[in-house]
Amino acid sequence: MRLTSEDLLGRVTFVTGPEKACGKTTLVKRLLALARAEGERAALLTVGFEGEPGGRTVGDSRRPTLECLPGEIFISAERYLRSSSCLPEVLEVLPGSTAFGRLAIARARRRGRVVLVGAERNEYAAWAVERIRREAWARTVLVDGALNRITQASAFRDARFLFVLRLSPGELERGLRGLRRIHRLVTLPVLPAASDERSRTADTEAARRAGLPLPLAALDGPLTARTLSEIPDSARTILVEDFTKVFLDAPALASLARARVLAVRAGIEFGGFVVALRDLSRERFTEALDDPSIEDLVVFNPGEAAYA
Amino acid sequence: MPEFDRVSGGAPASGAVTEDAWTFARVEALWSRFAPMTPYGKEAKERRLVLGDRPAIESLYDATQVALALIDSAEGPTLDRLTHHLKRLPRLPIDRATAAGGPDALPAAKDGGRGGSIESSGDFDLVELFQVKKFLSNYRVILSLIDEPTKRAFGLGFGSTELAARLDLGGSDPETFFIADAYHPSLREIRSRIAALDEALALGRGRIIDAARRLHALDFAGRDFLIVGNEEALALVASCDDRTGVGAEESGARPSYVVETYDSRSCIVRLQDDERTLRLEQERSLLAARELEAEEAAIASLSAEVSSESRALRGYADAICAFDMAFARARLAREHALVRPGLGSESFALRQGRFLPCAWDCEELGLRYTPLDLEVAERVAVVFGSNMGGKTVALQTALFFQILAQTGLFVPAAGFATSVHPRIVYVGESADRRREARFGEDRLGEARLRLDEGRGLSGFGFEILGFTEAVGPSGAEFSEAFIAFDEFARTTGSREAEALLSAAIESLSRSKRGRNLFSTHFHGLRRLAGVRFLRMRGLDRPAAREAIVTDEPLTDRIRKINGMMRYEIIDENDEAAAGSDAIAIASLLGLDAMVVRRAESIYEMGE
Repeated sequence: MRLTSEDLLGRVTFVTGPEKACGKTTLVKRLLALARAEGERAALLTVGFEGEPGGRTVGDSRRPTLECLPGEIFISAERYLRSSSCLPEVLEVLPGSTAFGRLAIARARRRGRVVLVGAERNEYAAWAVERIRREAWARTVLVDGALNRITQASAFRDARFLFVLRLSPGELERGLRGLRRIHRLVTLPVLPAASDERSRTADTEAARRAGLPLPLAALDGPLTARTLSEIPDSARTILVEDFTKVFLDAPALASLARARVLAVRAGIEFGGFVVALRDLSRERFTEALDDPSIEDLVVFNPGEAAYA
Repeated sequence: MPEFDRVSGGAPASGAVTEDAWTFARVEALWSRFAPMTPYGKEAKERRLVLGDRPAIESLYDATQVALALIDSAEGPTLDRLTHHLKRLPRLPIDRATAAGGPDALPAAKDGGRGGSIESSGDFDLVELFQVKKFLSNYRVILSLIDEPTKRAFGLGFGSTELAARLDLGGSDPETFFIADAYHPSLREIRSRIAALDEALALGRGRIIDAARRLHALDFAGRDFLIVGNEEALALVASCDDRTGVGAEESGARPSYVVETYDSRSCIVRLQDDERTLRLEQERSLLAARELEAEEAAIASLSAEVSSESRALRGYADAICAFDMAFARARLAREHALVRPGLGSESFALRQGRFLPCAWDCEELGLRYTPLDLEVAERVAVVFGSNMGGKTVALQTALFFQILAQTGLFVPAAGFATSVHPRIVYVGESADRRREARFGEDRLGEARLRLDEGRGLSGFGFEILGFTEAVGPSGAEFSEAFIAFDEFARTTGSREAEALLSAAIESLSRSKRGRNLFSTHFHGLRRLAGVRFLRMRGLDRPAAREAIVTDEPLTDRIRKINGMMRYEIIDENDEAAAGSDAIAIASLLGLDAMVVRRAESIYEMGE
């Protein structure tokens, strides 16, 4: 699999990963370069972690910055706008506020570095993305964010997400478990809504149409080991809002899959895994993964030298 | 603003109405369709303010009529543009309005306001200046779309031409803002030097990237770093002057690299800026610092200009809030055929009143809805009726209209006349349940006094508390409230209940300004002079007997019974309502025929 600009343009792409410093921002920069190469001026957002490595305190000069080109859109706090070198033009103010103050959608008027600051609530980020696209400030949106903050992706037509992880020999098994878990989650069946109504009858009808085993238990909220234990054994299908509401580890998820069907109301399109290998050959990774269907979804080492 | 900025329906009603009355009368069903568009209007709506002051309410009605006239006279595209710009109007970065009290007054800012007043809070920041500019831009367009009589009625004027023109200098369109060159004498020169430096930097870096591609086949375009194998990295280092990675510079076209370990097999390679680039960057940093200073001076100057207009800005916000609310009331009136209530009436007179929440329910269920006619000149009216006969809905309807009228909304009726009451109260089961739950909550908290007060109270106790709170501390005879009593004294035996009800009604009937509506199924009340006794017309029994066959499925029979209920209020002694609906319904639901006949006989003897 390769990362191409075709997969990005005119879409909302969430770049997410299992932890801080796993290479999300590096990938965002790479995707941004792909978009630029096509003459596209994208919008850049961050959600989730407030501060990537080195950016733990407000005003920290080590807080990571991105270079914007004229016409590119980004979201930041007023204090960072003022010190940004891109001559920002304020386009809109986000509702609410953050620890860094109010956030604004801005457009770079010249090349310069900016600090991205994320909205504290998912719906504010979703509102900002919707506004950026509706006002045609940008049609391509790149979002750097934590996995548990991508719920809103399902709200956007054409949105998808990429999952970034960094693997070394000592972390290989754990990393692969996480990767398989994500793969299992993104391939959960999506229950097509029978109607707008959310009732047990409507859910059951939709499950019947989709050929899922009945009876069905619909869960509002997270699926954890505890909430799973409260679901009657008789339920053959368990329905959750989307895969980000599943908080079961890989073994528990595998065990659940053997006995029942786990389904989601909203699917979030998956773009692939972006894996940076350290002290690991691709062959060793492939051998340990031992699953060609997942391997087809992997992009290796985006930072690897592109020889001219 | 976004969806989540809209009123959620969670805030309690305030002013002259109790939350229980608002809930019982299902006002929220219509209130949720009342849609002001500016942040000011949305917040004012969220207060759910019910007024107890007739002139204030009348002035809201007048404002609605002005807005209705605008809707009637303006063309569709103009109204669409008006709506568009009202929606785009942001909150000004000011703390609160000069006016206060009415539902159309500017409410206090929540998250968008500043801590202090506009004059005392120092410089505005970039985002705040953007908000002022965007407000003024939309405000001016709104004014251009409104006729003169409407502008006069709402005080919608504009005198901040100079400030608006200044802010218009910064931004590529009327709704965006940046610190433009024109805001400070040195900005143009500084920025043009920065632009030249940026060009030189981009050119220099482009050359280095080209050279890396040409000399070492490394493509850094769009990349901060590359990962290369150790052998390639060593070769790169060898091609440089020393192992630190700083290479010799040859007319700016020879790349230098910084190499660091990535893992045991590969290295991270970054392009290193050459001396010329570093010099240019340093120069740019110095210029950027000067630019920031100039920008801050520009912001201070713009802030002073905004501050000097603060009074006018507040006035615009006040006026637009009042207009937005009136425009929303007018649109609601058009959408639902609402009419202006009369407020100076000694009677409560409702003609063809449509209790919209119920009408919508009926529509959804495919049932016929009957509008209500009710005229009561007395201080107390009692509505009797059988179960399923609609007496509670009649009470809800009356309360719905009274509350709507006192919020300043027009009402869904052919005509409605009433008087203004300082309090609108509901006394009934759901209010009692809430009261009881509050005592429960207090038990969990620290309100020891209230705990002691409520301990051991039965359902009857809560009923009595409800009554006492409703009539107020001065007592029933002095009550000026509009009170709806739904099945008062339902929790005690019928003899005691009838005694209590009779005494309460007698006392309330002596009040000079109150209005009290009772629904009850206790027919043994004293028939007091000065009290109006009414009943629901109830089941159209001859038609029901003809249409309903007892061996039909139960759900069909229930549907038919509902369809044959006549939800009209008539005088208690009206011949049309003689006989018992309850016994007829019991018969239609399949009660043994012998039991039915015996019940009819006993009932007739009783009557």
